[in-house]
Amino acid sequence: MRVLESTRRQFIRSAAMSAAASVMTARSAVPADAPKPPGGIELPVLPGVAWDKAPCRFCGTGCHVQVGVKDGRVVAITGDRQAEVNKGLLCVKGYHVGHILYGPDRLTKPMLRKNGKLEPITWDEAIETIAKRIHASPQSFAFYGSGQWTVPEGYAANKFIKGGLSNNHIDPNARLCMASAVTGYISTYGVDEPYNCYDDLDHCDVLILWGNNFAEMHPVLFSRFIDRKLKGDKITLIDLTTRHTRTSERADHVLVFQPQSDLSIANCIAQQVIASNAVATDFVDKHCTFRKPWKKAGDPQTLMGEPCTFDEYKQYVAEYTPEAVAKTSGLSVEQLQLLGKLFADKTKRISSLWCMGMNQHTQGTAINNLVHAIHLLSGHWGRPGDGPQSLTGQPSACGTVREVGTLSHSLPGDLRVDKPDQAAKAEKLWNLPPGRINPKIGYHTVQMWEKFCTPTDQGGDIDTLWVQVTNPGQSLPNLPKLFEKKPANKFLIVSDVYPTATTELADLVLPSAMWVEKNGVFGNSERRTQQWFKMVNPPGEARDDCWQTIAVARKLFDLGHPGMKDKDDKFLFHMTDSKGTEVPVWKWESYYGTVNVDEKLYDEYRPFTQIKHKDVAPYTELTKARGLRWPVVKQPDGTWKETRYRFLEEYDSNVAKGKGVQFYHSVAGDDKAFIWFRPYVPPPEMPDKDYPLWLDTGRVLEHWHTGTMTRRVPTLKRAMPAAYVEVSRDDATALGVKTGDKVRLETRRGSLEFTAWIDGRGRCPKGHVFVPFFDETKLINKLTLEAHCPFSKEPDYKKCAVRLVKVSA
Amino acid sequence: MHTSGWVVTFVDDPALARGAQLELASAGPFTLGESLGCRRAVTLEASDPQTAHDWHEWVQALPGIEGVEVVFVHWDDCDHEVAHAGA
Ligand code: SF4
Repeated sequence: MRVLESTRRQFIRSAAMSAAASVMTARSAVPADAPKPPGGIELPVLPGVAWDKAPCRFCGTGCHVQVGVKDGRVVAITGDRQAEVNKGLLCVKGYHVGHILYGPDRLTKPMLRKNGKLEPITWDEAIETIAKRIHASPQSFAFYGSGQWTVPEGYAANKFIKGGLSNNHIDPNARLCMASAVTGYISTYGVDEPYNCYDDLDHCDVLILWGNNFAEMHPVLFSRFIDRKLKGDKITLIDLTTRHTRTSERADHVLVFQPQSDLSIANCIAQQVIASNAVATDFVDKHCTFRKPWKKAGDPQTLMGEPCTFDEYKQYVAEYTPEAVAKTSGLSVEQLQLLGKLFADKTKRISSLWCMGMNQHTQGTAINNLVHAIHLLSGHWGRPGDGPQSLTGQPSACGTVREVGTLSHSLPGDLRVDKPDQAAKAEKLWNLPPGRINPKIGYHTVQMWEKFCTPTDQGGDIDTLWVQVTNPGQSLPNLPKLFEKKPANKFLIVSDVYPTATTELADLVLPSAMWVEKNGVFGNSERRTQQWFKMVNPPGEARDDCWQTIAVARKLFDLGHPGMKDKDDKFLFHMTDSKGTEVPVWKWESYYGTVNVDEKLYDEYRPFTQIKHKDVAPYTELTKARGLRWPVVKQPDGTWKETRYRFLEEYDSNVAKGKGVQFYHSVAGDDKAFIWFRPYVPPPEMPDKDYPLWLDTGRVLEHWHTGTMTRRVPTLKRAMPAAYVEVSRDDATALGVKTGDKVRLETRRGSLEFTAWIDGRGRCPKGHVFVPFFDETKLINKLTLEAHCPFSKEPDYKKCAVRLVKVSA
Repeated sequence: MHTSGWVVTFVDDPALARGAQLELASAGPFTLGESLGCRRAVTLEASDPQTAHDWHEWVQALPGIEGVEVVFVHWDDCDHEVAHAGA
């Protein structure tokens, strides 16, 4: 026995060693965008272990892992060396990802609240309960989803509510994290999502992080960049931030600015580019026009604004001189000039990256517009390593939210519900009668929860709300108003894998399958669509979210809801096997049977993506690849080619021959992008004598978002057990607070106690405190503000006014 | 048992890097593999994920270490029990 065990251990050790050695070799030698070796890379050989690929369950980076399964359980994880995104690397969350399936408190049975207590019921009862509520009042139903929904899950939910119920009250949690990037892209280029990709990290000379703690939020991408420094590349990292973070520790320049002044800083860069005659005149004349946000200054700003001349634009930015902006931004004249000179220097390739710092902003669309603007104006656009790119926090915020169109105004393929010609295209593809899609935009996230938490007789017209794959009871802003006030007669349905702050208030809880317990497709931050197959069974009676949606749709069909039929009276989710026989996929026994439901839904969705040249790859191609960046174009030899850079003739076959650069979905229809002016606008709440500090919230390396999964991984939980408040040394001294003291944070929304941490993980400047939001026992969003960007409707979690009171030492 | 494969990157100060290599070689649970430039492949065998994490932190904090990347993890069923007990 001992000999056998020792041989097994040797096997595992040598598998670990060979995985490490090959990642080391790959990282030391090969540029990240080099072609993959022919024949692939061998996986570790372990007795009884079968390996398969999957994207990591967590962030929008979209690393690939290889999952080792033995006897129906995940027993090993290795970074996928064939994946271009991570080349075998994983962060601390990624290599613990297998453990998220095995928390002791997985939800395993549907449960209905009876007399205040959640009690087990059958799936049939659960599905019937939901269907009957929706049938009784389809227009007062809302669906709240997620950037963690897989593409087929989001697609099915979207079709169910918009195509079936003629109701657009569907919105995802991604509204809270990247909606401003969407409006920023659409109002600049006419179409959403980055034109570029992570390859920029391998080619830039300067990387500017706009309010983005890259080292903790996208650690594998950060390593990819830092690796170049280790290899001796002369590259510069500029951290534009409101507090020192782990990213700042590796930065060449740390520029700590005052919250909201990023708007002025961006305009100041534009002012300097113009003043130093560094406008990329040729590029700008050929490919851009200028835009102002109103007809005349002082009018309310609009999303699409008005045309303006270069001279007008020049006048608008003229007041944002380094000297003027230094007075309000917290940056020195020299620091502002450093940025101005960089953008004026054509020899350098500059990559700008951002995530929540720019998106969770009451002027989120504006700051997105401005960062695109300075790149376009200065010509730092279009070469690998030279351009602006937003990142996402969730694994499929791009794939499921932006591409599938699960926002309350959108349809798959970037179509809109309120544009009759576009809705008609969706109706045609869905084989629905004309007019089925309701032209009225549904409620966005903040509105949806406000309506749900308001009594019906006071205008709260959402009565039944179904939450899938997210935890709004922890992640919504101003929880006392948007979540905790739920009236007793309203019905909250929550599909999840673990008990959460949301299930605590739920009337019906549905146990869900997660990650490799189901088939899936994600779309990461760089337009990369990634697919995986189910590898293990979910525990107990847990079932796929997508099945739950289809089962409710079928029950409504049986109840006679007319919207659950297409034009030919077929069920909305009619699926047939290879012989043409209908498969009852609404029955769990048939769901993983003769058809692959994911593939069927994905194939149905794919034509939508071709409407605006976002052609995703065929499902069968995805099964072979570690994701492919759309548009994925069929080549004359029958192979499929991904696109690294859109709008550039060299890379994108949609660009007309000879054009060089073509913004082929431009707002004005002239193939030109907009260079925006947007003025500085103060935030709605600022520190004052009653609440003298800024409160900033965010994430930490060890925990992913609300911690539902990572707090079930003991190692991660122990590494970062509880939320804390980061206080500056100056403020701590003034208030007599030491690390470890109990302090109370108070805002106009509520108060909460935390342990103070001075100069800990991060370092706040004077007048600024930071609290991470992963801890369900300390819900910082009881204190945050729901004020949001007027265009993207994305709330600002980064700035509100707070006071800090010492409670005890 | 919890087995992991790491890529350890050393700083470019040869004396500090050598010191860190010696520390790693003399610590019980590590097996040192081949090296390439400033990097070395290393495996760790620990009784459970927490102990592995503690070793990870220990190595990260050693002078001479630029960074540690975990690229492979295998765990036995007992680790799930540990995970259950600790969550
Ligand atoms: S960087 Fe993101 S996707 Fe990659 S391993 Fe870490 S959590 Fe997963």
